Amino acid sequence: MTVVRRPGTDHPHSALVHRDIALIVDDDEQVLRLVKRVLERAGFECVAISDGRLAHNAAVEWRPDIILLDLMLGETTGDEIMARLREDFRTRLIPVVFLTVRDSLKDKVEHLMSGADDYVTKPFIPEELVARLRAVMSRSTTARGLSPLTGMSGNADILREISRRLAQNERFAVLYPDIDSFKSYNDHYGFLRGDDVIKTLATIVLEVLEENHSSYHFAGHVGGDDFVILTEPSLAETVATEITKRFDEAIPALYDPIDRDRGWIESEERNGNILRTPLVSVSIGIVIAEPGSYGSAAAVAARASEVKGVAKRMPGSKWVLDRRRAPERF
Amino acid sequence: MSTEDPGRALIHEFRNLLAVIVNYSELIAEEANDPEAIKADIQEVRTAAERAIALTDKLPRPGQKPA
Repeated sequence: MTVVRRPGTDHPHSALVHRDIALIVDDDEQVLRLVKRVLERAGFECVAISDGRLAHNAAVEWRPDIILLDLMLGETTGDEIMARLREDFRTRLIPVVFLTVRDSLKDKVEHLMSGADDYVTKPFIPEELVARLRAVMSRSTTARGLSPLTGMSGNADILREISRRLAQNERFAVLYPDIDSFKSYNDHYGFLRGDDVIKTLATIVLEVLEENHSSYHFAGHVGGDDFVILTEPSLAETVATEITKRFDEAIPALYDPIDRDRGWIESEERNGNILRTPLVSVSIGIVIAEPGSYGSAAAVAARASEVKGVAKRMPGSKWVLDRRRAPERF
Repeated sequence: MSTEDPGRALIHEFRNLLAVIVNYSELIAEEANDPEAIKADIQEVRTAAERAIALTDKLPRPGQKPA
């Protein structure tokens, strides 16, 4: 296994020079060296592994921008690896390209249908391989409807995932975090610094979900300062508590010292009144979707948003769990 | 776990080696000014070719029924 350590911090937004990371999985060491060599020359940073069974873990650890999979990997197959990647919220959005010697049209169509983003056959033309990877990477952000700011799932993916769970009669928790006083922060410091607040929350959400890992986790960025998290009901309160705690710890650093020290920002209203707004906090509405209780993803989302509204009426960071009986199906 | 057909696995490996040879030969052609890189690439070609020769031992002999 070749490991090329990622310099500096692992968070893509904080890296000053971000090189695209490719995870290459092939059980032939010579092929690995070849692909690595070609991609490194094209400016990629490469993580190359020869044991397919380690591919999923490597993807979780490295969060590559793209994954190249051989189809036949001895103990496992590229298809099996891709299925696992797609089931895990941490890796489901990473584009996958199959790189293999099999080249029949039927194979190609089958794999594209099953969710691969592209398919390149060996021997490959180096320039073509690189061009295809770049095309897949730029397409995947827009085609999957990812939030360009946080790289998380966007609205379409969120609704699809909620609908899928409803259709399968799963019992799951929906957390709806929203940042309080965000507009005042944005107006005061400008939208670039506002984006930092959103990214901070996104990072905290992902960290907390990873530390309390469950295969039921899902996280998406609705847009603006709104997020949606799906998890198993037994973890909902732990996750919400941890997010509010970490957000409160992280937020003061995003203020200028004068505002941080007094604990508010001042702005002048049109009529000359001075308005004091407290530091931003996070409010989370939690709804437990019982099997059969909601007829649509929109209904679940609406209820979670309503509960979040209740939370927002109280000052500071906090969460509110919907204690009402599950509504009649609507 | 995959239930891999040994014949297909052989073909897969063989084609992989040919792909390595073809790709490295192309890289060599582009590296006319870098003797070290050429040397390293030729070694890769040679390794692949030797592996391909060794692989032929696993192929069914003429007249012999495939295992």
